[in-house]
Amino acid sequence: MIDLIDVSFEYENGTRALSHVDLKINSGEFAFVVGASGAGKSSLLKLLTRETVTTSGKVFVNGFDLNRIKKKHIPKFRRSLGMIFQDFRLIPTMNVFDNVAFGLRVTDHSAKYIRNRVPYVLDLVDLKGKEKMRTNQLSGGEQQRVAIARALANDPPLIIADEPTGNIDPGLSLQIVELLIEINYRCGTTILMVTHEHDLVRYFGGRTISIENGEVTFDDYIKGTNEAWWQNHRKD
Amino acid sequence: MRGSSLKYLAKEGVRNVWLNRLMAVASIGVLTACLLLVGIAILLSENVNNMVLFVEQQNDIVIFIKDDATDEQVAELEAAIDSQKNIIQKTYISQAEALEEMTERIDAAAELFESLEEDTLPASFRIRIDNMAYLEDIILYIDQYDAVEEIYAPNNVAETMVSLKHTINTFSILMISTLILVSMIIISNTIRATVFARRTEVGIMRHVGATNSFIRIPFLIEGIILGLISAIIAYFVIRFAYNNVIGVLFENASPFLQSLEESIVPFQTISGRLFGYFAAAGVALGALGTLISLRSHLKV
Repeated sequence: MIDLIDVSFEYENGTRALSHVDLKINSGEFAFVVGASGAGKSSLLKLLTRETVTTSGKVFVNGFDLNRIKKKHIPKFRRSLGMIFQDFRLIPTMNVFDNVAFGLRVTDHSAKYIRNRVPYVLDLVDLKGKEKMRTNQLSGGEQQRVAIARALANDPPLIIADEPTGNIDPGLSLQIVELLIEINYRCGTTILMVTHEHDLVRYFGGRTISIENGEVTFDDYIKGTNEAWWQNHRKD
Repeated sequence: MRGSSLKYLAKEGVRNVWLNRLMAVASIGVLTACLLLVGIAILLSENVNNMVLFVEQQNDIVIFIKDDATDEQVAELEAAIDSQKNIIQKTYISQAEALEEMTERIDAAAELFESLEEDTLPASFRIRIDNMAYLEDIILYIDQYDAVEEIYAPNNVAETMVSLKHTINTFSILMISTLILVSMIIISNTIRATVFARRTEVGIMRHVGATNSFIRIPFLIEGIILGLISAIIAYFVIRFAYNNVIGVLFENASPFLQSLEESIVPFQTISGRLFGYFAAAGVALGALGTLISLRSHLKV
């Protein structure tokens, strides 16, 4: 699903953001990527979404070799990803339905498919009945749910969430992570969640990758403080 | 691309004009002003050209016929004149008519002409041509016929007119090209501001896997709509202004201005062409401006 082999990345001004990173995330996994500001998390995401390319090393995502991919194939690659951002990145002039449908329209799906798919994903994120609402009429948590629904709409095998709880209340943050874990569990979608909120990671536990000064310093499974939550959900 | 997708993109383009109406008004304002300047340049050039043409056509070329020319030779000469497509008017003046004309012109000395024979003055063809640039060629062609005694032609006027027309045309082309270039720069900057304000939208499109053409189409439609609206506004403004300016100018005009009124291009004769120019320029400027502005936002 994601395979980084000895990846290093330097910005044009010579700043080294990532140094000899090896990372493998398999299909169906849920992984947290943690690290302080400037640790290299954003650079990692830019490499994974092919906004930039490595200085050395190889990056494979969803079967695409991102070092060798042709420019004309980048849109096709990005359709195999679902992206969730800290600032939601919803289009304020569109209602909830159109924001979710946006990703499907961009990828040239039929009107009939869009009519069926959008209510389905909105139901998944518990926003049924809010299709006609403007996004600025929603709470931060609800806006992030719309963004998750948009990421899910294309049924991508991989969702990358960049600080998805960064702009919402702590209580709602738990709900958002719960929702992402639920999607991972029910739909089998691989999820990579980047966060700097260590408490959140400790609460849920699971595979945790820690980046410091551009290097992976920790990559293992940690036991969450809320183990009961996991057990309850896995029993479903 | 599916029909439904194209329909959606077209709808988005129209919707965006309304949603970004403030920037749309700014773009239309700038584009209309540029088109008005181009329109003024075109109208000025058309009118000056027409005036030059009017003056050109006032100059007669006189082909004097030899007294001993036979009827066949005169007929041959007439056929040669008729074969020239740039000759727009031809009048045959017989010897008797030439004398009569002379008598009328110099009324005070009419008595002097009374004693003259009818064949004292030579017969002639008086011709007018539509473009003085062809004067020399026409004279050379006609001069080779046996019936021709002498040709009187306003060579100096021709040279002046040809050079004047050339200067006016060069100046008009330069002015219109400069205005179009300036318009392009202003329009692309105005649209760049619109695109910049919507960079989040463009960024989201890129993240969800939109191709560059998919991103471009709504902006392109928006640019074309703005261009067309500007063309329509510029057309009606210039029509209103032109008719009024001409009306005011010739209402209490001096004799000199009145003599030029005949050579003023009526708006109706140029309206279709002008609207065509405006629409084409508006659409091209709107579309090109959009494409230039979007370029930097579409880098992968």
